[in-house]
Amino acid sequence: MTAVLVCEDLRKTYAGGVEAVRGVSFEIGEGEAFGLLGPNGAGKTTTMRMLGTLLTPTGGRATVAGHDVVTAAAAVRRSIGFAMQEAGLARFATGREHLLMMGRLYGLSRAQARARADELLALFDLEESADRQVRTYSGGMRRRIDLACGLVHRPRLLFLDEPTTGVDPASRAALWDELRRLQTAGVSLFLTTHYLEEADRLCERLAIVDRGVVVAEGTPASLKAEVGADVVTIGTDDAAGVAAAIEHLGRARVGAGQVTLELPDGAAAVAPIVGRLRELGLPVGSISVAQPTLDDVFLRHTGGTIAEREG
Amino acid sequence: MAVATWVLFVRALREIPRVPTRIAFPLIGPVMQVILLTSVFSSLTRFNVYGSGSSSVQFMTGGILSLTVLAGAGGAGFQMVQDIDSGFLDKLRVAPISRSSIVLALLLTDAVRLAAQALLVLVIALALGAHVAAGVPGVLAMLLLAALFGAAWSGISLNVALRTRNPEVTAAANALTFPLYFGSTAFMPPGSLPGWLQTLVRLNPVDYLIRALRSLMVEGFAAGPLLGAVVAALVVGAITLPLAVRAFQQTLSQ
Repeated sequence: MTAVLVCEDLRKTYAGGVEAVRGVSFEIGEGEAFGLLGPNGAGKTTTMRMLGTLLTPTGGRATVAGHDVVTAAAAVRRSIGFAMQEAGLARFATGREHLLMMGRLYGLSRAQARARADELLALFDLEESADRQVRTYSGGMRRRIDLACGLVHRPRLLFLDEPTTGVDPASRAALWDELRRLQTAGVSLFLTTHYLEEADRLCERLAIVDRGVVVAEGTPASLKAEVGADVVTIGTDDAAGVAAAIEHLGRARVGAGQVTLELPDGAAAVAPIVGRLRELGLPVGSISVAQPTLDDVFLRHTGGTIAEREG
Repeated sequence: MAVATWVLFVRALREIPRVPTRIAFPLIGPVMQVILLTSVFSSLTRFNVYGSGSSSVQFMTGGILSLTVLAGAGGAGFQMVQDIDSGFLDKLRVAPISRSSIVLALLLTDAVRLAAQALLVLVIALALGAHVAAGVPGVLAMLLLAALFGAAWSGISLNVALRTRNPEVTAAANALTFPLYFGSTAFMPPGSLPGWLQTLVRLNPVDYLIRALRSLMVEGFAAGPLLGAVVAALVVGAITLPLAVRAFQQTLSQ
């Protein structure tokens, strides 16, 4: 897998002496969806702003699409789209004006910018509100026009800083769908989030950040697997029989009307278990799998939950 | 760079009428002065304070136009703070455009807006009986001077905006330049000022603008005052604008 973004030992110490980022390293592969997960203040946004040429690192180095973020900032800017935290929009400009303006700033001709604006307005379902000033937009609409602005020049890599903060749940799900569609179309995604669900749903790989360092990195599944096993719960009228039938898979615990079993990959075990119990003619009422959450992962690596860190 | 400057200039210009307060508010002071203050001082006309045949409104309009420029020159800084706050400036900073095009677009916008505001105040003065001795070309020269000096002066509010990112401080810093209008030859001819003030006025860049505008109102085209105003604008701009570009490049990415 070729890397579209590489950062090595990236650091940022602010003038006041605050060490916001204390040596962060990771890579993002071409076409991958990668996320930085951590509480507010962990250094995610600072890291992203350094990689996006908005902040100068005080240490380490990084390349985006092969270009150094400090010495070749202009080339980096041409390769990325950047959707800002809280959506960076000019309140008194309309949605269409934003797209036309960004198109021209990214080197499109007037005609190209107009065509691209129409395309993006349709893609993000903003045609009806295209000519209204963005100060009248809802949170979800602001995010969509911001995202559209970041895509005007068809970047290889899209930076998304807290893409769904302040967005209602329905719009959030719609945004996730749109982002997944973009990824399918070949755009690499780099996002920061403090929502566990968002990291879980969108990211193929994650780095968990706390207090300016990466404390864990991997796929959501591998990170969770590290923490512990899945718990498979089978509801049945014949707990003892069921327990005996699946004993070979692991240590089964018999409870009142249910059997629980710890497995590294519970989801994958469901079908074989159901098959075997059917074969033996044992009654199965229900079967469920509880996985460890990313919060469990965060807790294990930092000694606190994300909510506690933010409290 | 030309395209980016143009695109951002058009954007800022287009948004001006969408926030009418931004053009109306800085005009309150100058409009009140051109109507009320010139009337308050009108009795001085009888004592021939303003020279033979020159009325208070004829004499003071040049100064009031300079106040229009000072009061309006906070616009660039205000727009900058707003764009920093909203995050829109970050969007521009990740675009592959030169940093100076962003600053230049704001200055050009201020220049055009200030010329329009000056024209409005001038029209009121003309309605009150003033006339422009230098005629229509003189009016154009006055508007050009207002634009040039204003662009240089808005570098002050830009600097404050970039270094503090605070709208109140930016507005206050701009208002702090108003004493340069009051401590000038705006209200009374140079010879009638106390000695110490006459010396200070020589160092006051705003006074060079006032003298040039007034000479176009009262005398017609005169090379000396016009040159003085242009030089004053260039000196002010040579200080404020490089500092603003530097503040832009440095403070925002630190």
